[in-house]
Amino acid sequence: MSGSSAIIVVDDTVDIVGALANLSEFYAHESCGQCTPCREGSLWMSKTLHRLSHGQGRKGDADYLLKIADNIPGGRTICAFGEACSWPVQSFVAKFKDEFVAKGAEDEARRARQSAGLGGEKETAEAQH
Amino acid sequence: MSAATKTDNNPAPTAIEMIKVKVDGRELEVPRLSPDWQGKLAPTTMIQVCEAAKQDVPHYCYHPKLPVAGNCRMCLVEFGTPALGPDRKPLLNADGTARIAKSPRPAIACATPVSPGMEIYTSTPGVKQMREGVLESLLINHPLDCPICDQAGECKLQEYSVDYGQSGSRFVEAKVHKPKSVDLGPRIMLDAERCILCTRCIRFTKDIAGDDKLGIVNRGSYNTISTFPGTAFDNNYTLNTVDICPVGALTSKDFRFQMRVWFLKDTKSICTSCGTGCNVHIGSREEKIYRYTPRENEAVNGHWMCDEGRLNYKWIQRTDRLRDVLVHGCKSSWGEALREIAHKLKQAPPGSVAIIGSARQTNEELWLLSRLKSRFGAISDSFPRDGQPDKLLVSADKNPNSNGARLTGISFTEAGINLAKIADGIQGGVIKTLLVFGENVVKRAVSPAALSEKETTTEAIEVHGITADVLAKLETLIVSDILPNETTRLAHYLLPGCAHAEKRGSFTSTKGRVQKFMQAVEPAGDARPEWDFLQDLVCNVTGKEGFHSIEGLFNEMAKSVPAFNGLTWAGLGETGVSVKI
Amino acid sequence: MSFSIPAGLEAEIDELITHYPVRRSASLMLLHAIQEHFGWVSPEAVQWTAAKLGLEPINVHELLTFYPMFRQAAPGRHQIKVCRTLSCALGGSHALHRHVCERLGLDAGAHGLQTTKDGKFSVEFVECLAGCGSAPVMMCGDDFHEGVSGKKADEILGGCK
Ligand code: SF4
Ligand code: SF4
Ligand code: SF4
Ligand code: FES
Ligand code: FES
Repeated sequence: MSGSSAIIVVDDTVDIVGALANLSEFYAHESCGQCTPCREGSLWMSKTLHRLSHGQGRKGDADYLLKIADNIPGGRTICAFGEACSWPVQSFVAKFKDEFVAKGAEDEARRARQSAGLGGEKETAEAQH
Repeated sequence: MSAATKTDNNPAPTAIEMIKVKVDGRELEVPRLSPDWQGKLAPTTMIQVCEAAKQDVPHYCYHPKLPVAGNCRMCLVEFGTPALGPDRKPLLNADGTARIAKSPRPAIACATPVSPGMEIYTSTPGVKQMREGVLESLLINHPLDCPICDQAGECKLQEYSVDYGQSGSRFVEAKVHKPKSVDLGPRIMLDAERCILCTRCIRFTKDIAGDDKLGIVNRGSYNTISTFPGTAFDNNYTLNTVDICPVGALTSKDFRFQMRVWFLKDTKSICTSCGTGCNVHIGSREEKIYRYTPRENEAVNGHWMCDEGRLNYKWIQRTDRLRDVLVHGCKSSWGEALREIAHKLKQAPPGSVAIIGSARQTNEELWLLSRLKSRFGAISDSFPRDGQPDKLLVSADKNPNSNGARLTGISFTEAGINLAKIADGIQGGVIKTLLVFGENVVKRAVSPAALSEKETTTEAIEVHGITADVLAKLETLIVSDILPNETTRLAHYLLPGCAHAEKRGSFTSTKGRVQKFMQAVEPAGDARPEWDFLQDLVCNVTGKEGFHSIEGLFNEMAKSVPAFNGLTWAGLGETGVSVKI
Repeated sequence: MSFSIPAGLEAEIDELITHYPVRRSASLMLLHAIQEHFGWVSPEAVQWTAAKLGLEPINVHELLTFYPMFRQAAPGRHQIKVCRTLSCALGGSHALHRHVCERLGLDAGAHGLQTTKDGKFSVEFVECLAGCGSAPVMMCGDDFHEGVSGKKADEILGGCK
């Protein structure tokens, strides 16, 4: 479920973390900002996903995202946009949790290698967008 | 909550239907309708019921005197209503009690009306978790400014975080940065990063001050409070937004960085800058006044006060305050000066004494002057002080106690009508002794140009004939004042008096509210409260004992001034009593 | 330079206001009409609009800063909008946006409005343009283009005078 009752069909070549990051950026941009949970939560999720899709992920980001998303819906916001912005995060992470965890784990491992002086990939270039 | 709590604002309690609701299991009866922010009857809300039940519901955007916005979501509660069967009849539990259907979704207590049989749950794990969620959301982009923030100590974000928040932050992203130290207007600074976007300030200035100058620009998490670029937030009520801002986003330029709020001593007082008599808290530390903030009084100023009155305290701490008793320009003592004055007064032939009191003096002081007046058959008056009124609080009468001057008989329906007579009396050599309290008669005989700080700038001055040349004709000029001026310089006897913040007393507002105020700081130098030395003087003149305490003095005055009959100092309470004027 | 609204536009605006029971409700329509005419909404235009509707300038300024399709600075003569949202992103809109920016000498990493030095084009990377079925989608002025390849984009840009 990607939010406001739309269906987007993607095949398995699509980077699901990147796709969710794109959607969350959309929601963060559209939140009107009147009420607290949606205003702050939508941008928080978007920032997290941007980080995770740009090489700065953590293994725990999947659960971290779910916790943020769980704080928004269920009648806590003024309008249904709050629900809409949290649903894709909840559903993507529920269905593809392994991909989110793997992405974070990969980033952590690479950072560990780099700080141990083994890696040497140009992380800064990658993190820029 | 008793339905018929009688306040001056809703005098005639009409019969309002009572309904039964429960708050966290406790049943209570509440009126179906309650006064809303404007005092109009509207369906009673959950937050009003919880308040009546003494069950704290944390809230940011809700303010009892502002229209409801419902945006912060801090007040979310869970609730249930009596379940109905298909026949619309209430379903019952096995024990005969009404079955409650718990709502699957929470509700904001600030905007949700209660209905008969409703049960409100404010302390469930679900509610706790929602509050934590809202607080966490508010904190993620909040700067770590507390050590340098003026709000620290009276910040709802700090308080609720301790009471309802969770420890530690999970947030690892970069914070949103917004403008800090934004000059919103002549008296207000905005730190947009500290703002939690509750919109209280916007609603206040639009709906209370009637000056729709604030708004939110941008969108989402980048939302920022702003004026239209290039315009200032500058109405006469802007500082109230600092009081109602739940965080340290709006700060008073006058107060910021001056003093930590927890060091301030609080004294209940009254604003003296106009006849409205707004109730204030004086915040002081070590004999220095740092700020006035409005003190709630539904019968007078509600929750608000004007900026002009709020900032009119600095003159009290001027270094050129009158500190010494002077007799013909030489330093003297209270005992000696008062004895000499009493002696002179006793010898004065009838009709040769005039008294100019001030409608800035207290009821008690004016009454003591009126006792001197009747003792010597003196002519008396006080000065009118007229300014521009506004629609909210500011009164056209810039004196705090014109009614007190009138009710005690120092002035008359129209203050100032005797001034010309006094001038003529002095000119003609009939009046030989003049007592002047708290008014620079000479200055007030000239142009309003260079007003002293103590004067309010908007007042109009009526020119009268008591000039320095006229005063020079007097045999005895007795003056009491707080700051030096042309009249104090001409005085034969100069008695240093006190600002209201340095003494106790009462004023009678333009609407007839008799209100008392307490002492916040010590007087300057040898200065004494006027009521205190006037008692000594009256005592010296009449040979009768004084009352020593302000309580005794007030109660004695109340017996002798018809309008005050029945009042007692204790009975004034913190918010005063209305009398017929 | 003092701000003035041509008589024709003012007549149009006065007519627009009659469509609404409350004058304030016409705010957005007025801003659209003004932007259509001037290409953007200047602070003077905000003040004019507020006065026209009996509002405070901040009331109109709030709207202007809230809705991304209102411009607070003069754009280029031709306004290009490339869709950034999911369907278009999956359909290649990042490549399309980069292509357009590089061709016009603009920063491919920037999402907000940027205008070429000659003032001919401005480019924005925007949220969903509601043509998700035929991604990637791009707008040039008021013209809507679907399934835009690099080649098609070159043709569109080339067709702008
Ligand atoms: S507004 Fe409150 S929480 Fe924020 S910095 Fe000031 S005192 Fe701290
Ligand atoms: S400045 Fe203060 S009162 Fe105004 S919206 Fe922000 S937090 Fe609320
Ligand atoms: S309205 Fe009058 S009494 Fe109230 S704060 Fe202003 S000057 Fe003081
Ligand atoms: S206090 Fe109820 S939503 Fe803010
Ligand atoms: S995602 Fe591009 S038009 Fe909807």
